[in-house]
Amino acid sequence: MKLGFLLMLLAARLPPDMTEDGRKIEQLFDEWRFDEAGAALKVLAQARAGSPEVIYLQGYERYLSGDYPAAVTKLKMASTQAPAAAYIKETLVLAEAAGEAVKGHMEKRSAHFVLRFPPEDAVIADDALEGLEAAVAVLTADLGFVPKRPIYVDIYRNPSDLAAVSTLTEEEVERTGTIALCKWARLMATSPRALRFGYPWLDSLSHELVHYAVSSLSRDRAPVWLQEGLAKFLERRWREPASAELPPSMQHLLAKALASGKLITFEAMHPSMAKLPRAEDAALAFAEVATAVAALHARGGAESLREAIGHVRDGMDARQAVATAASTSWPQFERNWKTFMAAQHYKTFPGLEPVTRKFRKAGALAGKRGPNEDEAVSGADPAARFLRLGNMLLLRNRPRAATVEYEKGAKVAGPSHWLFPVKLGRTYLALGDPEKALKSVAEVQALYPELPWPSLIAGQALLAKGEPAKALLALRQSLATNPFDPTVHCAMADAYHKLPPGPDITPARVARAERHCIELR
Amino acid sequence: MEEIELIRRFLGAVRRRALLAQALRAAAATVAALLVAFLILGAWAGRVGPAPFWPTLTIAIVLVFLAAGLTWGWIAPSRRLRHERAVASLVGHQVPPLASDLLSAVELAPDSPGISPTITHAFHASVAQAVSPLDPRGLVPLRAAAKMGLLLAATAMVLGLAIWKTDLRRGLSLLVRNPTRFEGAAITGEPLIGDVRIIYTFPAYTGLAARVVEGSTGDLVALKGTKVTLEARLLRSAREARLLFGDAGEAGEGPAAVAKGKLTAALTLRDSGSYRVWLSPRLGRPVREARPHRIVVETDRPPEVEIIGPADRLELPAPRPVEVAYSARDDFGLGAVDLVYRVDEGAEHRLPLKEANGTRSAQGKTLFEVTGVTLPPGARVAYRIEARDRDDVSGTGNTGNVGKTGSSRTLYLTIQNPRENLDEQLQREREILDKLLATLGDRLEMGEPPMAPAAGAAAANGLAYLSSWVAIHDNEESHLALLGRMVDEERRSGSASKTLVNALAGIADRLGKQMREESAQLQGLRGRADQGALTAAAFGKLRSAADKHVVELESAVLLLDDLIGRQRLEDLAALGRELTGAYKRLQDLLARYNSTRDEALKRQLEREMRDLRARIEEMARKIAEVKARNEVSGEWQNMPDMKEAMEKAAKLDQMLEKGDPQSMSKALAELGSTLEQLQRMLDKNADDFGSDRFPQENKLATEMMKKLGDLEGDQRSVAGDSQGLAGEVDQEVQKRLKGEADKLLNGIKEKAEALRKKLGTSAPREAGEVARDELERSQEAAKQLKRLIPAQELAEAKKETERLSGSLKRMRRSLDDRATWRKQQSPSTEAFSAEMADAQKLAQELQDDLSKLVPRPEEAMSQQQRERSRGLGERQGSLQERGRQLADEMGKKAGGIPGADRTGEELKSIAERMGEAGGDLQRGSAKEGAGKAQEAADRLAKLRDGMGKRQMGRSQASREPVRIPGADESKAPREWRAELMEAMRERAPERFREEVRRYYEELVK
Repeated sequence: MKLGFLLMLLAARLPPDMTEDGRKIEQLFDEWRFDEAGAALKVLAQARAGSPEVIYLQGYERYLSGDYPAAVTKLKMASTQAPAAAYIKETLVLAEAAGEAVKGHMEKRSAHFVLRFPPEDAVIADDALEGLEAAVAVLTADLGFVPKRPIYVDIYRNPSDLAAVSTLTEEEVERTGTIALCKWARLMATSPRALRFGYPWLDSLSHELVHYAVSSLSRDRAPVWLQEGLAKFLERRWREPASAELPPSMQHLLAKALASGKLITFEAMHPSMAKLPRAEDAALAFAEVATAVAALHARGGAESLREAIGHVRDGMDARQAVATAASTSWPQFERNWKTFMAAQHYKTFPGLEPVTRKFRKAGALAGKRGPNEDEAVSGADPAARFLRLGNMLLLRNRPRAATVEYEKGAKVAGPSHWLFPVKLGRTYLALGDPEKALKSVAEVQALYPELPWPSLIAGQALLAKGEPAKALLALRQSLATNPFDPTVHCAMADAYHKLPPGPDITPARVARAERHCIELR
Repeated sequence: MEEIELIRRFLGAVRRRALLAQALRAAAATVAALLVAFLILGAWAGRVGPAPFWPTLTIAIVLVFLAAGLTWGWIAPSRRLRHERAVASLVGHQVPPLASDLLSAVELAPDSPGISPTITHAFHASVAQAVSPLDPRGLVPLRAAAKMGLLLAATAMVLGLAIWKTDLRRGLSLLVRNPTRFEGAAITGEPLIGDVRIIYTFPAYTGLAARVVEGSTGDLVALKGTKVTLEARLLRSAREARLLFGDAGEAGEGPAAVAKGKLTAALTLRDSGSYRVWLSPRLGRPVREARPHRIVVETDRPPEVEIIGPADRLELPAPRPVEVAYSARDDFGLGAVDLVYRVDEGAEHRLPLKEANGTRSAQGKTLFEVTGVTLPPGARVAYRIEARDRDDVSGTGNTGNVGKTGSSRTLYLTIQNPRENLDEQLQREREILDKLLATLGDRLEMGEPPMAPAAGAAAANGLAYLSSWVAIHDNEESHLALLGRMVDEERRSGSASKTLVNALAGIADRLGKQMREESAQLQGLRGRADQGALTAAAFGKLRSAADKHVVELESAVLLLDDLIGRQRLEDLAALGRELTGAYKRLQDLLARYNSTRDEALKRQLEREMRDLRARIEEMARKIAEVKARNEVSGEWQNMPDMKEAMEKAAKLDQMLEKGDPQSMSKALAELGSTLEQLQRMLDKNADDFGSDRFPQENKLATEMMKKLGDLEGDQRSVAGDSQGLAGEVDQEVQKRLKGEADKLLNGIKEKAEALRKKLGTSAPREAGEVARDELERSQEAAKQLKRLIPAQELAEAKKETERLSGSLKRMRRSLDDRATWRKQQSPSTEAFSAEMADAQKLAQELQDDLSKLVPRPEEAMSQQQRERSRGLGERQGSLQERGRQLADEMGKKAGGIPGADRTGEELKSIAERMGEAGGDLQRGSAKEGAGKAQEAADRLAKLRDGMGKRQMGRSQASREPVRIPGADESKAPREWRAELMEAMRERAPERFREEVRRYYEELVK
């Protein structure tokens, strides 16, 4: 995600003291042609065994294969032999940081993936691998992407780890809300525990997998806007059919831009979307490129996407490639795209306050607690008083009194604030009134799909109402944002028990939900 | 039986009777004569006195008397009456008509030739018949014996009465025993010896040299255990001599050698008493002195020991090391100095502090901590300092060690239990919070008054509604009473901050006001209910007032919740700081252990480790409790995971067991980093909570800290300028003395060394205690000079010299006084006095030389510098005023900022220091003023930092040692402190001693 922030590091630092063969091998690595690069390296290693260049490339190869300790050993050796080579040192720093960031992590494998995660986040492993396998299946079907080697997925405890393993600074990660990356032949993501309200981590992993696929298929030649367009468009494909549906926050921005005619041009997105002046502009640009890909998909289906990527791989300009895949010219494609957007009838949502991704403070991270809805209101907020009072009363089993306080809070906070409806929904559930609970969260659930709690309350309410199938959908959405809440797992286990077994309701899933329900408490 | 036999039997009875009567008489007479003889001899012996002949004479007299008695009473009568004729005569004498017949009958034997046996027989028969009625008892009465018995009784009575007389009794006793030499000797008032020379050899432990006294009177005065050799010329010729001890020779005697007209005796002094010389001449009775010579055994006093602790009765929230200062003095030299402590009624433990190795005084400081046992809350530790001298003469003390023991007074420390107190307090606050929340819930759930279509039903429902209100009201009232009680208790105990108490009291006041208003309304409604006029509308006023009440109640529970949260988080943060403190101590210990490999250090390490682990566990438990009880809301439950710290501590324990220093250091570093991280997290948690939940306080505190910071900045500026001026003045002086200074300095060094050597002696005992003390002080001052002069600390050196001169002056005065009093001084004392006079002269020269190098400020400063100094003094004065004002302001804000009251107090004290600095500067003492100004600035900085770390609740028990107030922080000049400490040594009257001690401590602060 937001790959534009990543400079073409390796390309920018061409090693001057490398042989032509060495440079070629490095380029093959950078074009994600790992098999070819590996074969060429073997030949070179025979010819120039023990040379710093060969050791460096071997280290680089290990790094790209996710074997950081071996990479560090090789790169250190190379650096000792060629102390002046900055590119070796830079790669060594990255490999060391990558190794450090996954130190003490657990590892779990599936058919195509190797997931490394902090032990306290073990709850995400099975769902992550399931989601990724589902995503790779649809990408194989849609884009023809078949992974030829295990894909490493590293989950980091905090954003500073993500910054350390990438070329981004901590400040950039904080400011842009970057939570996942695809680079150096692996997927990297920050644990949803590190964010105040979690984040759609399964969609994000899928998003990064799309980048991986596109980089592999295009030899990493797709520009950022096309990468992001495809990733955004395909990120939910693992769980639902392809569509031009956008989350409310993006719809809102796009609808406003369409109404005012202030869309971000593709020229402005070049060379990096990160260069756009405002975060809002960047968000709008993401929405635009996603709909551009949706428009292409609408016209030619998945085949057109494959074709566009193929043209890019062959060296065609991305815009030209898209237009060619759409069997038209770029200006015409642009016009068609705008018409397509207008046809989607994207809505504005007055009062919508986009949920900004905020990382939790170091103390909260060290506390190893899961995301917490109460962090939505700061102490200085006038509504905070009622939130605390409601919580205190609820904790002392006074739900009726708590609703009075939450209602006061909702009044003070205004209709757009999602927290008090969530709190009221929870309290109504405690009072045994699921209907009222569902009503309370209905609006915020629609407006803020990136939040776990509206879906959780809705799922619990639906379950209480005797609608386990619908409940399961809502609960899965909540789980895909915050997997650390035991109530989600408990409710899911409950729902599973109320539903007949099927491909979605396997004994393994039921057992998992039950286990997590107990373990996370 | 024949008649003659009857006659013979009669005569035999008479004979026996006669012998008995005589024996009795003679015995009584003999005894009576002996008694009389004893009476006479006793009286005589009493007059004459003890003499060897008395027992002989007595025995001789007894034997003579006994022989006479025996002869008279037994031998003579037996002999006289051995024939029947004599007995018959005796009877005939008594019964004359029978005299002839009886005698004839005895003489006429039955077979006498020429006389008819029949006639003889008949004669015998008639005599037998005549004597048969006679009773021998009647014939020989015992009257004479009885009379003699009476005489004996009378004599015995006289003797019995006379024996009460002491002289006679003494005389009688002399009759039966040989006299002692003392008793046996003749007494002479003339001296028996002359030119007495006494050599004292003192016990080795005193370190005193042997002392010779020529021309002595013979009196012996020395320490117990001293060996004395007495040499004298005999004034009479003698073949034998002895020393007789005791007033009457009762303490035994000692040998004395006599040769060539000289007497020599050796003895060891044990007890005071007296002795006399006893001489036995070649001819004649031995003679002894009439007047005894005194033996005075001086006592070696036990050491005097002083102890100074942070307080006589110290109460600590938790066990902590306690700084203890001590000083011990002994007249001859100290041995071991120990700290002795006892926990509650347990056995005494002894911690060796110092082995003084015979020095006369020892002082030092130590950090005392009870080790080996965990002091439970409420434990009382009594501790004191004991010092032993090296007196191996007086035997062993109760410790079984050589020497007498001196003990200081006993200090006490008691362990409180603050955490339990805090936990209890928080528990009570939580209970009140729960109750108030329940009331809030009740009020929120009350809803609108019921409306009913029928008037009767409305009244009934209204009544029920009113009853519910009243029940809620009553409940809240009882909760407020509970809160009020808690506030009162907190005020009384004074353990919580004013801010906390004020906050709690504020809650009670505000809710109390609401309750009073509601009470009045409820009363009105009750009246209406009694009249049956209770309708829904009647509740209108109550409902609208209730809304305000709910708002107040909401604020109260929120504030109470915040207070609980803050206290708990502060408690955790303090515990976190303790952990890092413990880690630092461990680090230090480990470094020392690694370099020394001392087993004692290893044991201490193990103890500290156990302590650390216990604390980590405590922290883990507390964090778990905070989470379980939801004492703070989720966002503040960012507590560290203690598992890692516990694992690392366990790992370190294992390393310690293995004893691998490198691994230990590494493991400790890892643990330290975890603990520091943990502390940061807890500190931040507590700080953030405070800032978020108490913004008003935070604002106030920030404002005050800013003012403090400004004051500190200005103070630093004055301190800097003052130091600059002091530096300039110093340079000026140096410049002025250029060329001369080196020469002068060399001379000073030489004189100081000469003085040190001169003082390197010991005062003779005769010089007295004052002289010895002053010599000791002078020696200490000379030692200081040796350090100060090469270090160019000349101002200090000058003051040291002044003090040295003072000591020497006092010593001289004392020596002079003693010389006047004693009239005659021993040569050693005279030599010592002369040495000290030289030393005094040297000290004066040194003082003069130093005065040239260190002139008085007014001499050293230029006019312009003096004005600058005055200006700085004025600036300092205005800062002092600002400090005072700020202190007042702090005091007023004590209710709003935790700890502001204490900060205000400290600020006042700093302001006083500023005032002193200002005074010094005004007077032109730039150097002194600059030091004080700098100290004030440093204290201000510390104060400001402390304010940033203010705590609402009780403070966490620290592991930092409890210092003696003013022991280290003091900036008072060394010499001043030294003088005060010296003055402390002078004994104040018992009842003022404690006050005096406190006064000095305050001064030194």
